[in-house]
Amino acid sequence: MIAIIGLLVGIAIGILWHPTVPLWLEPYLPIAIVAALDAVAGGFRALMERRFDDRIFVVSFLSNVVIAAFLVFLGDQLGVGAQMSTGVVVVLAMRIFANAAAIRRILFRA
Amino acid sequence: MAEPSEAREALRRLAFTPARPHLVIGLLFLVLGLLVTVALLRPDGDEPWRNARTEDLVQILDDLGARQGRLDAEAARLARLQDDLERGSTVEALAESRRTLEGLQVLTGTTAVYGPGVTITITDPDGAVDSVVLLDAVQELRDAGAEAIQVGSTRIVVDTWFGDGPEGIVVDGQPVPSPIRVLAIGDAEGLAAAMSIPGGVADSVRTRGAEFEASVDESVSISVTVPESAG
Repeated sequence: MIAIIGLLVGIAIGILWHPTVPLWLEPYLPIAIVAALDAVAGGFRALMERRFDDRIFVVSFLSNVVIAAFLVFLGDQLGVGAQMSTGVVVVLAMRIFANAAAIRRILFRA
Repeated sequence: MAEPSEAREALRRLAFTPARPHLVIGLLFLVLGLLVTVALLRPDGDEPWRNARTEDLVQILDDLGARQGRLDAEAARLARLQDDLERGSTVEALAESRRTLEGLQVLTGTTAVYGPGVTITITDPDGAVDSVVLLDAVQELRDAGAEAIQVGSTRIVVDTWFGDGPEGIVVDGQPVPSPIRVLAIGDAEGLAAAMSIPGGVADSVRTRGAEFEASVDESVSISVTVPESAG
């Protein structure tokens, strides 16, 4: 419940405040979003499997975002920023799909 | 693996029970919503190619590359032109002008001259050699390519005049001391040969009973100059 409320409040703040993203943060924004979505999907799957732990969820959420951003930063420094972004997004998307598949199996037996 | 009914139960519990320990999770979702909103509402900016397709971008890049090539060629052409103007024509013209100036300075006698040439000594105790003979000698030297000529202590230039005074030959108003010494700078051998041709200056001097002597020198110095303002 509180998750949905938080999400709505965040969206409302984003729309009303309309913050401008600093330029140096621009490349990390989509990566951070995908990493967070991966953490959410993982948390949801854990919830379905009745082994959800909010501590693990928080840690995985933060570490996912930080690691993904760090990888992109490293890629930028090595001159392969675009490829690294793509790679990170692909890996995270695969994990999201895997989690979604698990959730779907549990919820609908399919 | 949990049973589907149990999972649905958990989902229901999560949705409808006031979740006390999920404050941090709510905060994280707030951040997630904020990020998504910011990403979706990113200002489009004024770059029309932000959402352009790859092919279009390649086309634009090609156009820009071709344009840059043309501009580079133009820049190179202008740089060459500048080069030519600076080094090629102007500097070369300047050097040419300097050479011409040096030549004219030698001819007008405004500068001292050193170089190979001849030293002519006319010993004439009787005063038989007049200005006509001396003028002939100077003309002959000029014809033979003398760059600079000095008679006595006078530099011979364009407007030098020769005359006969009571005490002998006068050049530009200066009496020429005896023996007459003529210095000429130029092709030394050629000058000497011009003096000694049959019926030439040397012969005419000797027929008048005077002595004519021409010696070739590796280094003749004509240091007498005409003031530049005189020209």
